Amino acid sequence: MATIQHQAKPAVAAAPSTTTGGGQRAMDLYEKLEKVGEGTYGKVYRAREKATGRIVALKKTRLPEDDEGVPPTAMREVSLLRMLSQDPHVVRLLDLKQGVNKEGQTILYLVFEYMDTDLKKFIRGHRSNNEKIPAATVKILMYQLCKGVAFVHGRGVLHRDLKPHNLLMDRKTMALKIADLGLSRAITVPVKKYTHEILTLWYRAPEILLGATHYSTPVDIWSVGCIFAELVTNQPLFPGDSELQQLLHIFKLLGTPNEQVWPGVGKLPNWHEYPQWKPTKLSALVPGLDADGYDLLEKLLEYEPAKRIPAKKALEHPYFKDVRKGDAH
Amino acid sequence: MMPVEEAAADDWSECAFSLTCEEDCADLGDGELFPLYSAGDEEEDEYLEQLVFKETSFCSSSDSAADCDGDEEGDEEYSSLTSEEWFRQARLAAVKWILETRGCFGFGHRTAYLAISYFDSFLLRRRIDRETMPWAAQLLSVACVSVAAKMEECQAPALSEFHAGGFDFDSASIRRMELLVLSTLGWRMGAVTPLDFLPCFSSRVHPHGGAGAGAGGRVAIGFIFATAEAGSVLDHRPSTVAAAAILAATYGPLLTKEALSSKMSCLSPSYLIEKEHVHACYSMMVGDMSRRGSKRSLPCSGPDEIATSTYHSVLVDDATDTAAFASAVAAARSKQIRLELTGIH
Repeated sequence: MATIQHQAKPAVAAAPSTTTGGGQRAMDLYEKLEKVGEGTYGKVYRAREKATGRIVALKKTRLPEDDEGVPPTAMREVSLLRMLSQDPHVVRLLDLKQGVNKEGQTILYLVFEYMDTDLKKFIRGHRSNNEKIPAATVKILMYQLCKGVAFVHGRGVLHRDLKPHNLLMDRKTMALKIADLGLSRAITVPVKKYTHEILTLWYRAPEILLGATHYSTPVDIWSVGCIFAELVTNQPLFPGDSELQQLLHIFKLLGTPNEQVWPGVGKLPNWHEYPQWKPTKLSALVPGLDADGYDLLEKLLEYEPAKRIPAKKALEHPYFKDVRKGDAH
Repeated sequence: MMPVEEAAADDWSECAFSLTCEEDCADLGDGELFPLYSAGDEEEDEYLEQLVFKETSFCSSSDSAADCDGDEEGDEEYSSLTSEEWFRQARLAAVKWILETRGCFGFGHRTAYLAISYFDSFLLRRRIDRETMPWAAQLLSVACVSVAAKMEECQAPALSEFHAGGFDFDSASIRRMELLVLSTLGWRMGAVTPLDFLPCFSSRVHPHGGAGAGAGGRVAIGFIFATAEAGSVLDHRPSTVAAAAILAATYGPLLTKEALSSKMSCLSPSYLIEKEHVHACYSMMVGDMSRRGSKRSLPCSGPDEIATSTYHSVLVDDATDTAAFASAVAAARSKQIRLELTGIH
C-alpha cells in the first residue's frame, strides 16, 4: 500500500482523555456542589474532583433514546472545543466522561475548568450597585475578548452566540474566556439556520436580522461591539424583544441604513421600507469612552459586514495601546 | 455573496469574506461551483496555512497509539490487515454504500468524504474480525455517515431513515456505534478534507473563474473520490490529495515531475505541501486515467484540459448509473493493486 507520509509532529499539549465508564463511576469521581446554570443543551454544575480536590464545571447531557442518536450540538461543541481549548481565552475542556445512569440512559459529562462568574453577572453586579465598570477594566476585558475571537476565527470557527452570559470570568484575575460553542460552526461548511428561540436577539447582527443567507465572521464582531457598549454603560445597547423590534432599535440609534452606507442592503430578503432615522452620535449613546474607544466601537458596529473590523485588526487598534504593552507576545 | 468594493478604503474588507458560509446548503452545485474568491493572495496563504495546520493537528493529536505519523507496530498490523482481500472488499462495499447514500439524501460531497475518513480512522484504531466484517463494516458505515451528516448538514436524517443494504440495524444499535466512533476518534470530528482546499487551489489555476474552474472542480472531485475508493484516505494528507487532483483535472496526465513542481509554486507556498508527495499522488490518479482513456468528454474551456466522465461516475446519484458505477468500482480495484505495488520497496 502507499506509504503514509511521515511528518514531524508539532508540539501539542496532552489532549484530554475520553473515558467510557459507568455513570456511577463519573458520579463517584466528582462531588456535585451546586447547579450553576444551563448551557445550550445541558445543565452545568460546580463540582469537586475527589482525587485532587480541584474545582471544575460539569456540563451534563442525557442522550435521549430516540431516533436522532447523538445530538449534533453535543458533537459539534466537543469537536470544536477539542480544536480550540488550547487558547487561554477559550474555556478549557479537561475531560469527557461517557456513562450510563440508573435508568440505563447514556450520560455525557463535559468537564471544564471552573470560572466563578460570567460577564452577565459581572455587569449586573455593577448595575445593581449603581457603579460603572472602571475604564481600565473594560479595556482589559475587551482585549481578552478580541484575542479569543481572533483565535476562534483564525481556526475557521464562528461562535454565533457571543453574549455576556457565554463569556466566563474569574473575578480575582479578571481573566475572560469564551464558552458555550453548542451553536458554533466551522466556517467552511454550510451553516444551519439560526434557531431563533435559543439565540438572544440583542447581540444579533443586522445582516442576520435582514435574512442574509451568506454571512461570516463579521456577525461575531457585531456581538463584540454590543458587548463593548454594554460594558461601558451597564445597559444592553439594543434590547429588542422581537426580530422587527431588534432591527428598529438598531436603526433608531445608528440611523436607517441605505445603499450608500451599506451597498446591497436593499436586496436582503427581509428588507423593506423602514422609517428613515438619522444616526445618533456614539458618544451620546455610549457615554464614557475616549476618542480611541469610540473609533473602535464605530468600526465594530459598521453596518456593512465587509467593513466591520476583524478581531485580529481590532487588537492592533490604538484603543488597546497600553494593554498591548503588557502582552507577552 | 456580499459585494466587495474594489476601492474599499478599509484594508480588512477583503478578508472579511475569505471564510464565507452559505446558509442555503449549497454544495458545489452546478452553476457556481466555486464562488469567485474575493480574498487576496495574502489572506489565501493564511487560510492555507490554517488548513494545513489543522490537518497536521488532526493527525498528530490522535489519541491512538497508531497515529497518522506512523507508530511502527500499529502501522505494521494495519498494513497487514489492509492487504487482505476480504478487508479490501468490505471497505470497498462500505465506501460504495457511503457514496450511494450521499446521493439518496442529497448530502454534500464533504459529508461523504468525512464519513469515509471516519471509517478509515476508526479501523486504524480498532480491529474488526473477518467473520464479523460484513455486517460490522456496514453498521460502521451507517454510524459514520450519520455522524458526518450531523457535523455537516443542515438537517441530519433520523437513524431509522438509513437503509443498510441487506442488514436491518435498529436505531439503538446505530446510536451505540455512533458513540463508539466518537469515543474511538476522541470526539475530534472536524477533520480537514481535500475539498476544503479546492476553492483556493482552483482560484489559483483559474484566476478568472468561469467554465474552466467549474469543469475542473468537478473533475478534481471525481479524482478525490476515486482515490478514496482505491485505498485509505489516511494514506495521503488532504492538502496533497487536493493539489494532485486540481493539477490532474487542470493539466491532464502529462505533467513531468519538474512541470508539476513548477505548477505547485502557484498553488501554495512551497513550505506547506510536499511536492514529492503530490507527484506520487498525481501519478496514481493520472495513471488510471490514461490507461482507460476518455470515454465521454466534459466541455473544456482550454485545449490542454482533459476531462473524463469515468471518474465523475464515482459520484453516481441514481440507479441508472449503476453500470457506470460498477465499471468505476472495477477501475478502483485495479488501482488498489497498483497501490499495493507502490508500497513494496
